[in-house]
Amino acid sequence: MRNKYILSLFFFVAIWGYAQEIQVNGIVMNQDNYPIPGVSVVEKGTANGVVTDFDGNFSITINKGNVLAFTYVGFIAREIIVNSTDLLNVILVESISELEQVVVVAYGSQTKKSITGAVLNIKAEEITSQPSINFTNSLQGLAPGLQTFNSNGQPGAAAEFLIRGIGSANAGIEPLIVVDGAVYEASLASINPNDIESVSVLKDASASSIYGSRAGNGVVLITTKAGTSSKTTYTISTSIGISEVTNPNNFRVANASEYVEYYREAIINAGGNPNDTTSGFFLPVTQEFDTDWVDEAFQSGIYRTYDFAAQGGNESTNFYTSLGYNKQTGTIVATGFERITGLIRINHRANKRFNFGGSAQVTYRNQDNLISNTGRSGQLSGAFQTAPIEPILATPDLFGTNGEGAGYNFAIPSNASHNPVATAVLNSDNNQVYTINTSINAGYKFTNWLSAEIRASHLINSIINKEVTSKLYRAENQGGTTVEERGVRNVTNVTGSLKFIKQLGNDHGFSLQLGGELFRDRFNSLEASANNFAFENLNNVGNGGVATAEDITSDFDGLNTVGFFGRLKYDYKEKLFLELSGRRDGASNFGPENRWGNFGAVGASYILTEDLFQDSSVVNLLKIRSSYGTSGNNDIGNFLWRDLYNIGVNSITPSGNVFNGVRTTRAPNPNLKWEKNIQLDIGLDFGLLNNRITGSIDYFRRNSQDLIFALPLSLTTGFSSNTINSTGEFLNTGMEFDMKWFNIRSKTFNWSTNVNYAFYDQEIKKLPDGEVINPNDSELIWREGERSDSWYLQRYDGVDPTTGEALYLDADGNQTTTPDSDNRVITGQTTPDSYGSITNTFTYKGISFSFMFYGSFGSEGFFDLGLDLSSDGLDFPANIWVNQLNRWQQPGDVTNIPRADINTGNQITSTRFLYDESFIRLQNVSLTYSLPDDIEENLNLNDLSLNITGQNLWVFTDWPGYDPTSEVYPVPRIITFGASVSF
Amino acid sequence: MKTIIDTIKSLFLIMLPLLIISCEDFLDIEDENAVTSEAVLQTEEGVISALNGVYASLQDQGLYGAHIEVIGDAAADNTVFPSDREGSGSNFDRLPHAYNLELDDVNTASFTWEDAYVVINNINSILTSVEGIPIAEGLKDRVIGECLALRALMHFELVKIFSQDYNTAISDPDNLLGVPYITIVDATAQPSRNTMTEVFDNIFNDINTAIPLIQNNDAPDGRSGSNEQFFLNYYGALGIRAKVNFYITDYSEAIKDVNIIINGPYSLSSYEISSITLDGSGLPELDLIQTWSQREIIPEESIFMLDISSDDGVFANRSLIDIYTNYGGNAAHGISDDLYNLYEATDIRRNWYQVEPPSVSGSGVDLHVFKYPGTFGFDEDDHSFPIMRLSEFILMKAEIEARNGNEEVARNFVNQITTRANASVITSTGNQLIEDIITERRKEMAFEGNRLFDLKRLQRSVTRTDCTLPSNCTVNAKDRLFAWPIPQDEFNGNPNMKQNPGF
Repeated sequence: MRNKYILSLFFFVAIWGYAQEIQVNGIVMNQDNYPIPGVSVVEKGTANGVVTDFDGNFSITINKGNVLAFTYVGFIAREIIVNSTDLLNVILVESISELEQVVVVAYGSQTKKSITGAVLNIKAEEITSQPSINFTNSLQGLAPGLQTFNSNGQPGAAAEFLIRGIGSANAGIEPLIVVDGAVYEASLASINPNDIESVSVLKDASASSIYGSRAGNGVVLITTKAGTSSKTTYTISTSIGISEVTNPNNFRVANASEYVEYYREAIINAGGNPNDTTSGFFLPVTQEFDTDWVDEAFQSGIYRTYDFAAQGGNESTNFYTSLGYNKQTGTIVATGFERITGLIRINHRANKRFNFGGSAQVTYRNQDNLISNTGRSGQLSGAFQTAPIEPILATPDLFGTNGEGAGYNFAIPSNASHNPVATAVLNSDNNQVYTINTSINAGYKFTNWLSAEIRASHLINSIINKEVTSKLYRAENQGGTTVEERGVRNVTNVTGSLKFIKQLGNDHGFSLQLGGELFRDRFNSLEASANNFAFENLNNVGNGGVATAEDITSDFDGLNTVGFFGRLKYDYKEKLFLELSGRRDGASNFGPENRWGNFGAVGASYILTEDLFQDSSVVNLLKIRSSYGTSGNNDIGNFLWRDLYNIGVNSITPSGNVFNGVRTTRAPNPNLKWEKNIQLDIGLDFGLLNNRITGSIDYFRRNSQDLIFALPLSLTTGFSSNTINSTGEFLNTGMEFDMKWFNIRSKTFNWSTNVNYAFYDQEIKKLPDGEVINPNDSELIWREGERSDSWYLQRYDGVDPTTGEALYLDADGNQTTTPDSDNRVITGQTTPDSYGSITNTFTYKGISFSFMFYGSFGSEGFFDLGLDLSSDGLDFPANIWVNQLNRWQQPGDVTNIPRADINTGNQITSTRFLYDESFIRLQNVSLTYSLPDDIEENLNLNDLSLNITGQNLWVFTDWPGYDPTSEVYPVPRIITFGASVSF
Repeated sequence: MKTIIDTIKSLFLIMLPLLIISCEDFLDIEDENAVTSEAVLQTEEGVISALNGVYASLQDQGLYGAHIEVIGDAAADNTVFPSDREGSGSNFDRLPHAYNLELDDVNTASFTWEDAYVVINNINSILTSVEGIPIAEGLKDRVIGECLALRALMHFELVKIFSQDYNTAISDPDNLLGVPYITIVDATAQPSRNTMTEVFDNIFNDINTAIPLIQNNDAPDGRSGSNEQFFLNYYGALGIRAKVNFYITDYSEAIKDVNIIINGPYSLSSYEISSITLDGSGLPELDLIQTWSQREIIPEESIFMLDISSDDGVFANRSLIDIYTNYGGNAAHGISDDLYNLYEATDIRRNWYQVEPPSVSGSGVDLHVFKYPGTFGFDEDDHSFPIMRLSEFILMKAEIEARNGNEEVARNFVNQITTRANASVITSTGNQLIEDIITERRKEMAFEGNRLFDLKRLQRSVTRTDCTLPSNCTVNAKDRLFAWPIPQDEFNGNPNMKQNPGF
């Protein structure tokens, strides 16, 4: 059977060919008769092609009567039938429609016109016009469908992504990240934003199913820059800026007088006497100190970048190389980020058939993290807790004999003897990361209709994390503690494919791509810790006291996958497109019986305007698209299917003899397999009024099935649960909408507006075992018919005006004064159900000004910080949120804050601390001035520009804390000034 | 020609990944931090490792690490709530409900249920594979013997906690059930409960098969000398059978094994007082019984004991000494005056209980157990725990002989215990002698997890005179509270499970 297919394939192949070949020479220019270098000149329906040289010249041998297609980014593609060897003069017109633009897709690139799926493309300028060291933070608002959460203000921290909702309960929910064709297993902080050429977001099955078992959550393709066949250009750019924490609703903790007022009342209410020096609750009105611990924790950050890049080449060889240095100090004291990046990429066309290239990207990062995220030892969380009446520095006699304490005050009962200022000065949490990503690629053209490509890459990502508690830091004085973890990840990726291209007549175009992919990922780490250091500064693990066996641990992770993929494209007169794609995937994280799976998708699109509205100036483009297909999610842990024994369950006798032992840790699970996503997408692309208005609308329906859940076993089996593919099922539906129009379009002045917006809805269709509290977060519940991110909390109902007691609602909605976790109900959701942005761009000659508002709506956040600082007196002597000052004081007081009492106060997780997280943010403003072309030409420059950019400049929200999207470290406001010159 | 070579080269390039791919082995990768069951259970080394893992697992928190002994004393009449936290406050995993007896399917011995069946599953994994493994015949039999004996022991511990006493249960086999007796490896099994008779039939079947296998074959290497007591030997296996027979009141069977044990190589340890400062306790020097003061001391009378330590990959407890004291505010159980006042003023064993010095607690009124002085605080203890020691069998001997009317013999044996402790010699006769021996057993074996099961064996009530909780000062004999509820988690995964009456 299979042989038959192969035979017929050969037959099919054989009837192509045999025609008269002619040599065609020509030149490609733009409307102003400037030659355009780097234009792709391809014999249509074949892989036969060349690019124009620096002077726009090209030379190609084709079959007589065939069509030559000329494409170049930003220009309308042209096709010319060639019957003679006359010199061809080709003029390309700059495109207003984006249809002819080439977009990176899975395992290749396509014109926007021919795409049948939902693919978004973000261009380099949109990213580099924003001040972000980690470019993921620049993507918010740029793509409807790529939901971006900037949740961590730590310099260099990555944003989190969601594509088309939450499709899993227990497996991963983030999209697959692919950089230059290989799945990327390092932090995107290792990539210099200036090295990025484009970002493509593959949202639907047609675009992503070819990635098979890992495409279930969508795919983000990142392409870095390559050289062009043109004169070498050098670009030097630099920017400097400042960052600061934002606090839209002026969140703060109490100062000394507020603190004393509140707690004196709480002590008196509890029957104590704050004036009694012997009671243990002595709190006089007059205090010596009024320390603003939170102010001590924050600072203004400095942002700097220096970048150099050179690119160029000729018809046969081109290169791109860059060197970048970034440094950012955080808005929290002692945090920061430093990075050196280098990239070199060379492509060489050895002859008409063979080309090859290679690249190396090397990054060093050095990151000082917030020291401990939570709790009283936390650098920031401790600053909120510490009472303002405590001084920062100790009186000299608190200095230890060996310098312990370093002069800081550690007699701090309000923060369990931790001093957050001393934490920042004496302790540290540092990451050093080395990323090396190398690749080699080769292409071979067998005939005009058959070509092959192969690409191999290897990524090494090495992380050294070192956490130091200084021996001078008094609260945990064990002579200092150092914990050091070193982890190395090695990822190899090899992809090879064959491409067949054939045009039958003028109407029918075919292309077929068949390939295979190999992926190997290994992670090894070693962690060691030690105490009792002799010298404060010599805090490497080896310098401490003797480490015991339990202070040294190692870790391992590994995954291998193999995939075979294929994509068949057909077009009818370039107006009707059909695409079939499929993949057969094998993965090591499933048992031998379930290792292999098939995924596939079908997509179709039809450009209506090729038949209707021809030559209409009102309707320029109407393209309908639809796709349907499957993909998988194998992000479920790598050894879950195996029945493993734990090593190190040893019997050790008092005499020190070790009897090495092992014991079972997990039940065998040979039936485990990936979760499945089935997605339908219907889309419309349009261009109206001479393409003054362009845009697209997408509807999707994403059904996630076979969701893994850990279902309980009888404990008599020796195991408590087994993770299986259950009947669990989630449904995500939504609409995504993207529109751009020119308010004013003229030779010198343009004003355009871009609006994008997305609406999502999610529902748990089926659960395997009734409703369950989310095992990862007890404040969330999974219940059929509800969302999978539903808050499950007791409802707070204010304060009884007669007693000052907190009131709650029971499950039936009746008031009660007794908090009880049985009274929890679903009270909101953690993820926004709609979000979008509006960008206005003005260009006047060399000046460009744009600003973007981003909005996110429909989600609620639990204000943990508020809960921590609102114990209604119980947490005495920890500091309080000033909100506590609105407490109930006497009968008749109408307020939302209960009576203060150091005995009966309470810290109940309830809707009291659940706030609407919706916000509108002035996400991005950029003003760029580029010198006029004639002056630049006189100066022998390609470009000289100056810019001012700002990110997160203003936010409107009901959220009471620092930033509505940030968890611990608030996302800062950044303003930068930059200059860029290229010559 | 050149083109052809190029073509071949390129084809090779393209085929290269496909050639590698064709190897299915590429998708078989091993976790470097764990080991698969196939790898463990195919060599002698692997089997011995699995057996060592079983011994290490006996230290689990739900087993001898903490809960078995806490239940045996706290659910009976040997403890009170510590005076500074009457009725509330201690952590769930220190079993405050063992004292307050507010039992339900959450407040029960859920750790014991889970941990015991983990051990049983590990034993069954060895037993189902061991036949096919190349391993010396004698050693194989020894491994099988130890596995069977420990399987019997684990089911015995389960049935003591989760079922009524034996004689009550067999009188109502439809309602008073045993526990599932598991002998197969099947992660999807949902067994129902065996009857009490079936459970004990299985226990005897296992232990009777085990004893000759252990007796007639040498132990694995490395267990000699000071390591021997930490593994089950012939006397340990006999001890299990003796304890089982004693529990079901088959005294005539029990005495056979007891006689062999007391004529075995063990002798009573001497109890001597010495002044000891416990590392890290913050306490001043204390007068402790030397034998019980340090983990390193292996008593001569020890037959089968565990070294509970924090560096063996098993979480044993959150400091047994913290469970029995209120030092640092973590206690769940203090000792009852009902027990303390049984010891005469001269009794050396009073030194197991020390008044916490006022300089530490600020109160100076609480008594605390220093039978297992380990590490204070949240961390695990490093201490030894005696699963079986000679004193217990001497007391069994005394009680059975007294019941058989051999009063002189009985008094001689029990007075070995009283004399060592510098307590008054027992001179009574008849039923009073039996009572005195039972009381002596309570005094000697306190906080080793026996008292509750003696009360069950004797079908007596729990009577707490020094009672800090008025609601449960008395639990009548055969009360539902003597058969602890099956944990809720079991019902989540097993529709065939049946709860005990009254829960």
